[in-house]
Amino acid sequence: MRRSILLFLLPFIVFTYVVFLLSQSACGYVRATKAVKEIPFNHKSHMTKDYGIDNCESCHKYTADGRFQGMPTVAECTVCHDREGSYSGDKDTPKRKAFFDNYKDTDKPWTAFAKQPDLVYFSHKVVMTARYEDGRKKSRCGSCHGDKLNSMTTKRIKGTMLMGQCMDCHTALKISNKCMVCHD
Amino acid sequence: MKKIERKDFLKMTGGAVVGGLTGYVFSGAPFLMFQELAEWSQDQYVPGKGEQKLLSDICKSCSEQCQITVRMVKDRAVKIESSNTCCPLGQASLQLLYHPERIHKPLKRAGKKGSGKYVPVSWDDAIKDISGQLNKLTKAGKTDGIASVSKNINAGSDLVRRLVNAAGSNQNYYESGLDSLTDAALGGIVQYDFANTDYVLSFGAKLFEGWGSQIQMNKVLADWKAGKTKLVQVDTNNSRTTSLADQWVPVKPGTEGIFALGLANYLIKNKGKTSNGVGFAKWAQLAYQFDLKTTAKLTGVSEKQIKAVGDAFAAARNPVAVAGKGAAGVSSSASELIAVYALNSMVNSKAASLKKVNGLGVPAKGKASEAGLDAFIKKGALDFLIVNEADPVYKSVMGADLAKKMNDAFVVALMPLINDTAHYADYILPTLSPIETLKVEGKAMVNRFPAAFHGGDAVIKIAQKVDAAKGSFPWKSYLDVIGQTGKKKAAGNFNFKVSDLKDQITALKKESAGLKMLPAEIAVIGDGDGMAFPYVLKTIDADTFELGKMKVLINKKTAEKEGVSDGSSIDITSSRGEIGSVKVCVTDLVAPDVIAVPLGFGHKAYTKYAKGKGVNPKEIMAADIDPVTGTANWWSTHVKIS
Amino acid sequence: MTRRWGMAIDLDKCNGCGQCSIACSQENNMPIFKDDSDVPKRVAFLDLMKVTNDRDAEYPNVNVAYIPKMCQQCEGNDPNNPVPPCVSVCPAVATDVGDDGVVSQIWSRCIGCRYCQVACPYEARVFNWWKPKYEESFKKSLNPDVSIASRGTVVKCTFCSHLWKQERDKAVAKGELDINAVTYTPACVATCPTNAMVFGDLNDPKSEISRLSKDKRAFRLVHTIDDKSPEEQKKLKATRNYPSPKVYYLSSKQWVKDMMKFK
Repeated sequence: MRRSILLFLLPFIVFTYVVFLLSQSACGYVRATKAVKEIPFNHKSHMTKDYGIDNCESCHKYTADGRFQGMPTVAECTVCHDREGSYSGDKDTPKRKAFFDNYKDTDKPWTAFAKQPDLVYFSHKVVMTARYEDGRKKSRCGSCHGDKLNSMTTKRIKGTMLMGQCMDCHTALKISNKCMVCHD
Repeated sequence: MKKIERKDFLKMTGGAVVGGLTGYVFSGAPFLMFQELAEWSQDQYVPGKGEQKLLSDICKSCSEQCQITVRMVKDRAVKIESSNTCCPLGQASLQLLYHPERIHKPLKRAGKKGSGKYVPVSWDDAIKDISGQLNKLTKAGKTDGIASVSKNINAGSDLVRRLVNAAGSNQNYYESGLDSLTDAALGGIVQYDFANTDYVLSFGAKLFEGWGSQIQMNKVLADWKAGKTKLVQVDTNNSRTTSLADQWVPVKPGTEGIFALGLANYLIKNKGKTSNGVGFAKWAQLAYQFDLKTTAKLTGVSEKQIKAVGDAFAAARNPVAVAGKGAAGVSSSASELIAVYALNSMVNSKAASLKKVNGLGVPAKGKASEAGLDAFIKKGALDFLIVNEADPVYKSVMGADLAKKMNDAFVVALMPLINDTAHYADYILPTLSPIETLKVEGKAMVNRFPAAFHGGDAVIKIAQKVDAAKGSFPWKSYLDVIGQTGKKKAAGNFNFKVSDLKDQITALKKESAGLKMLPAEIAVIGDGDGMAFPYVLKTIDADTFELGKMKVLINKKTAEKEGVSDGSSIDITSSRGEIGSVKVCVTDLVAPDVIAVPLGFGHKAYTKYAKGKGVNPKEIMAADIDPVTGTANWWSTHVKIS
Repeated sequence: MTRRWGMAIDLDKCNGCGQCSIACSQENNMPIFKDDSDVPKRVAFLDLMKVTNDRDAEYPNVNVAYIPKMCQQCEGNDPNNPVPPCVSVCPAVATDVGDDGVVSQIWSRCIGCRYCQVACPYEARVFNWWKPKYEESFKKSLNPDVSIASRGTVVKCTFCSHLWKQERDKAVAKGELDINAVTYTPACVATCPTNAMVFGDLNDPKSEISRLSKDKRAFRLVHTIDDKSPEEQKKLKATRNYPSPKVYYLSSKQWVKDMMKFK
């Protein structure tokens, strides 16, 4: 009897563990290959030093009508990393980078991890502008996107954010959870 | 160790499989798998996102010059914001802009005429050939066969007219439309002042269904205050305009002109009114034939009501009589147009005045009327034809004859989509949709077809290679011309043209019995232009076209008499032919002994959205050519049903 | 004060030109079919409804009008607790009523049972019998703010709530944080060339829509309970949930009123 159980359980445990790991990495592979990060960007080195880039909106901008522009274009980089600057030089001038020569200013060589499905009209402006009565912001970029400030790689930090997370925060802040607030 | 037997092996495999499944399930991968599966199977299209911009400009496609704003997402135009102005086809112009069947480059015929086979060629080659043909004809002195057909009077058609005139011909024609017919009959177009009139007597003119300038008429309707202006509609069948009117005077089919003459007679005899038109005395003699009794018999309106309308018309502060039966497609005889305008002159209406629209100034030789397309189709010789954004093969009742003539002539069509007429063209030159002519900071808002040009620009290009036109085309673009043309100035006095029309007027006294076929138009489709656009198809109601079958409207009593009922399939025959297999819709919106047939259906080309839907009643409509306008009077046709 | 969006359509000014229908189709990415003549199955948020008293009258007393009919955004018996008939029957919570009274329709939750289509007294909901398709270059004029539904789901007019969201974003970008201060105009109302359509906040006593909804020419589609006395209305409302639409039609013509109230 014991032998039967062992015969069943051993492969069971082994396979569970192995397939589990395989599936997870397959998922990660599928999700990661969908997000292309051609130029390696280091958030920590840009934001924690004294470069004047102190909040996310310095590069992740809004348009005049309040829509979020998403990933910055290469133009945001070349504003400081002058295409005609020097490759080395004093510490206070951003260095010219050779890999920018492969891109136009209007290119966006990063695909976003955080992509909304087609039927979500998510407004960054409204969520990011909301404040409590004492002036504190109700949400920060990191609440949903994770601590990018201290990240040094282009790896994904937070997993896929499901609708429930949006609704939980709305419920806690007593904001409407009606469908048309976010869906068309 | 004990040997592994089959049972043990099965247990191990079982454990492996269950373990694998458990591992798979608990890893969360099924969620991702189902999501991918759902997305793949539903295969929804996601429109591209991008920065949104609002660009404004003035649309110059007609004289209304509406200010419109185009909502652009990146480089795509997604919506036209018209701020309570513009016209339905203007709202639909994005469908024309992005229509998959738009012509990209000039096309040259590559098969028999009517086969629909074309090959793209360059503009230079096309213009060389086209101007070469014109040069050949002008050199040989054969200029009488050069002609043009345009849709409306505008800058583009003025340029076409000038080219034909310069080549030595005065054969410039328009589709049967309000302005061209009126110009032929009265020597000018009628400018109405609907805002300041208190009594509008409309003779079959479906004012709010696309008649005249739809944008202007919509503004009129928006501003009319209840009770201040009375609209009296003289019409056979009920339609949207008649339902909005304050009073409806139902008349027998095609007798609106008789009613006008009867009213004129009443005003002259009983109210002592006179008109300042040339030849009034002689015309009054003809009008006397339409005394109250005769008019009542012919029109079906009681003598009492004719008197009442006459009294109210004469007593109004600033009455106006409006002519032009129909909506987008207008058909009125010259005698009817003149009679209605005469009513205005008799009461000194300040709400109607004759205006001449200036063109580009090359005077026409001879007396050929510019409305006379049908007369030309019947009798004229055709060697060279320019079709300027028009569809005469579809819209003229003599379309089939025109197609035959076009078979042996050299035809150039200027249009954005291949329509029924372009089918018989040797060259089709692509033109622009209204959106593509809009500019922001000097650059076009949307430039989808770099090889398409505004019709006027195409004509200028051709003219520059035509020897006979040298010196007559000093412009670089149609934009230079827009400011110069379209200006209205007072026209001279109108002429009753008694000698030309006395037979037509006397013939009106003949009563005719039997079934009559009248046209009906539905919103946006009009007389056929809207049919190519899918969003316009969504406005067609089930009583006009359902499940692939076109419907005709027949009065309840008449249906009983003819032995048909709702849903019966019938054929309609006239002296000119037969149109078949339409369904009956029984309704009392139409008068007894009348069949109302919708216009706009029965295209044989004009994109897959218009092709092969229903039948075109114009094929069998009356083709008596008016002696003054030169256009067939196709409004009312004798028919039989089977 | 929260908004309560309503619409008024003046049928004495509406000439059935169809411009609202085309504007709606363009704004909301209506699917494109070569043959759209199966009228009951046609996918269009705004239906140009033919109204005629042909059934009750004879020539020449028969009239016709083509009237825009879209989702009437019903609110049920109590405006403060809106319960539209379609929302109350949806088994998948695919349709819900927002705080501003607009009934939303989320096609991705829809299971296609069409119960809401049955419950709607105005036939304002349409079912995607076929996959929404856009031939080739027609895809270029699609509005990215409105997502394309899949086959087998119900869709309907949402009073262009995506335009509300656009206006809300613009307001926030300018610093106006009160969402109840946001105003917008749906595509149909914005384009009506005779100004027959009016859109606004029914909760705002000074708005034109409030005034028009109380006009003596105003009536609601098929909502015959409006003709009864207030006491009778109260009694009837206690027995069942009446739709109470927020789209008002105005007409001085009795035949229009009679036919649109199914007399």
